[in-house]
Amino acid sequence: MKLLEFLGINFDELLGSGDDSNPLMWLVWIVPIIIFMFYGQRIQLQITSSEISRSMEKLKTFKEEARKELIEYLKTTLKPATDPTAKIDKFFEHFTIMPVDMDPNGIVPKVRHIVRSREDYVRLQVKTLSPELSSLEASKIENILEAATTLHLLYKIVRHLFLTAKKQNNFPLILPLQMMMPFIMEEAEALKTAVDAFKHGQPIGDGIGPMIVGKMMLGTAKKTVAFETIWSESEYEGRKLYLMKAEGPSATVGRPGDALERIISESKPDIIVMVDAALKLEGEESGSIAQGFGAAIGGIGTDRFQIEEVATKHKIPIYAIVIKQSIKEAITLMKKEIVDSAEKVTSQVHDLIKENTKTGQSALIIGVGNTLGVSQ
Amino acid sequence: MIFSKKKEIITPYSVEQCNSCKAISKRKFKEGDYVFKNTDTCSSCKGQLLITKIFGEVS
Repeated sequence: MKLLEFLGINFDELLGSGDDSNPLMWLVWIVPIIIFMFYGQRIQLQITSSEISRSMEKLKTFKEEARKELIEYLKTTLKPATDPTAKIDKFFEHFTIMPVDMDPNGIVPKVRHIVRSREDYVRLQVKTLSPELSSLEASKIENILEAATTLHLLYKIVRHLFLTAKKQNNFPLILPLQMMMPFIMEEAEALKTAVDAFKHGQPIGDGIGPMIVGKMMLGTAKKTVAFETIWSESEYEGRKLYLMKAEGPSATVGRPGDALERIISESKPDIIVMVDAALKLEGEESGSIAQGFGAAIGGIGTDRFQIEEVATKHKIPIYAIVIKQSIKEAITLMKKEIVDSAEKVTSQVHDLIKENTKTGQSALIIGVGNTLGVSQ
Repeated sequence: MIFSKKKEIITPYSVEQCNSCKAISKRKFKEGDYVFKNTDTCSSCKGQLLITKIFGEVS
């Protein structure tokens, strides 16, 4: 107020508060209302656009850093004769066309065929980078490539939606993107951080299932049951245990569907127990454990379909134990809270076996997830 | 910024356990470590050390 007095400005006159009929003051109120009536959406579009633009820049940095890290990793660990940059860049633009679902009958084997063809192709291409590439290194590269490709795709989709809304000057079109942006950025940040764990071969949160079953497998004779999947036999309080997980310490999830089919054709277990990581709800604690029924397995759904079909055909009940974690925790270095839940889960698995089988019966325990950095 | 997140630095650790004296030791993760890997011999009883856990902690 003192400043206004010093400058010789009358505050009442400025706002016109002393006189309601001041036409200048009337304009001051009415003009913004008219502006907002006609240009409100455009102004909002500008504000939202600048917010999305900032996130998109961050997403672009993540994408480029992941690509750079992958290329540098290849150059330092494999020391290839030729520069792998062109080959890697070609991978980023690869796409997969899913089968027609107008008639969904019999679609699962088609999806499995297409996904496996893609995986086989990537595996083959990675192996061509260096003749002395070990299966562990190859699996690490495949996982880094997957993370970098997903980041590349996320950026391209966000950019497409953003530019379309801007081109059409369409505010409602940009709203779904604005709402989804925090979730997209959370996933992008998780993928970016995951590259580091993959490079160093460190266990990720998703590996808790294979870690629990891997510990139960220690000291038993392990046999290959399906591609990158192993099993062994053990005993617990008069019950026979069939233990199955992906073959560690490679970065793989194995083929639990195929493995289950083969185990059941040889020896029919009385129950199936699946141990897996599950996405927690906001407010739930990381590493908390929950028990339920049904096939606890993520992915595209083909393995889950196969497991459910085999279990239904042989009338075998499926029990599930899940360890809760966020999307970021699931694909980055395993947190202490998650690793510390392993002992509690093991005793819960044993309780479940005791409660649901009699002496002389058998149980199949499956450790589901990416077994990177976890042996058996 | 009220809602700005603090950047966490996660350090990876490996936990080793001796198969005979059951002594547990924690050390920083080394390249090539993996869970259930047999590493060195125990400094107190000469038993075999096994990596039982690898995890990240905020430092």
